[in-house]
Amino acid sequence: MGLFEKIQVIYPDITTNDVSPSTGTISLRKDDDVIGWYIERWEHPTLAQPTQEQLNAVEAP
Amino acid sequence: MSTLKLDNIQHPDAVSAALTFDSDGTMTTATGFSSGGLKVKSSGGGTFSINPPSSASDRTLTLPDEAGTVLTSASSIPAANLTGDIIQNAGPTFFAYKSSGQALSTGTQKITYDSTRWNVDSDYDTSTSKFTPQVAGYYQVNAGWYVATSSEREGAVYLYMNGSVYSAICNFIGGAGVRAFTGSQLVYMNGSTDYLEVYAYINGSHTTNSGASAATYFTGALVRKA
Repeated sequence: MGLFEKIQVIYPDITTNDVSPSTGTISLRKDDDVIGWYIERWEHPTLAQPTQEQLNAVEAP
Repeated sequence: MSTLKLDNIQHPDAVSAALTFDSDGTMTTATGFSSGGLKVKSSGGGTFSINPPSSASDRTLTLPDEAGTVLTSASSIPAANLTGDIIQNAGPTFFAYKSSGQALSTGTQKITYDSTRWNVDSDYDTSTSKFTPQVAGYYQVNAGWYVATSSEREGAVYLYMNGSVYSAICNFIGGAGVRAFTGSQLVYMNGSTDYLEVYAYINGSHTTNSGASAATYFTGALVRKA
C-alpha cells in the first residue's frame, strides 16, 4: 500500500485532487527506495498531517 | 631607374650573409646575431618583426589574395563577418532511458533512467540518474515518461536542480490510453556542482514503459558555454 492510499485510510475524504501539483495542498515525494515515500508538504486547510505512528498503524488490505 | 645586383648582403661583424638572393628572386634572411627574422621600420617609430619558428622544416604561409587585416588570437571577429557554418562540436551530451519499467504511485517520484545511448564526457550517472556537467553553460534538456492507463490521469514532469524543483516542463490531464508526458527546458548549470534529475507526478499506480526507443527518456546537451 502506497503512502497516498494509507492517507486515504486515515482520511477517506482525501482525493487525488488534494495531492495534485495543480490544485493540491499536499505533496507526496519519493527520492529513492532507501527513504521511500514521505510527506513533503502538508497545507490542508482542515485536516492535520498524519503522524508516522498513524501511518504505520494502517494495515495493507 | 638604376639596378644594383647583389647575391648577398652582410654586416661587417657577421659571420655569414644576412640576406641572400637567389636567381629566381627569392630573398632569404639568415640566422645570425638575432633570431633571423625580418624587421620593418614602422612610421610610428617602432619595428614590425616577422620571426620564424624554431623548425627544421620548410614552411609556407600564404596570405589571402585580398585586402584586409590578418587576425591574431587576441582579435575579436565582428558578427557580420561570421558568414560560414559554426558547428558546436564540444561539451557534454547524453541520452538516458529506462532498461525496465518503473512502478509509479500517486505522488511525485524520481524517475531512474539507468541506461544510456550515449554519454559524452560521462557526466550522466546511471547509478544515481543525475546529470552533473563539468562545463559551465546553458543546456537544452528534454525529459518524459509514459504509461498505459485505463482511466483519466493527471501527469507532470519536473526538472529538479540540486534537489529542488527547477521547472515544471509538463503538466496535463490525459484521457485513458497510452499517455506520454514530455517536456523540455533550457537550464544554466555552473559546470561543477549543479545537477539535474527528473521527477514524475501521477495520480494513480502505473508502470512506465522502457527501452531506448520509448518515450521514457532524459536527454541533454550543451548549447552555449557560459
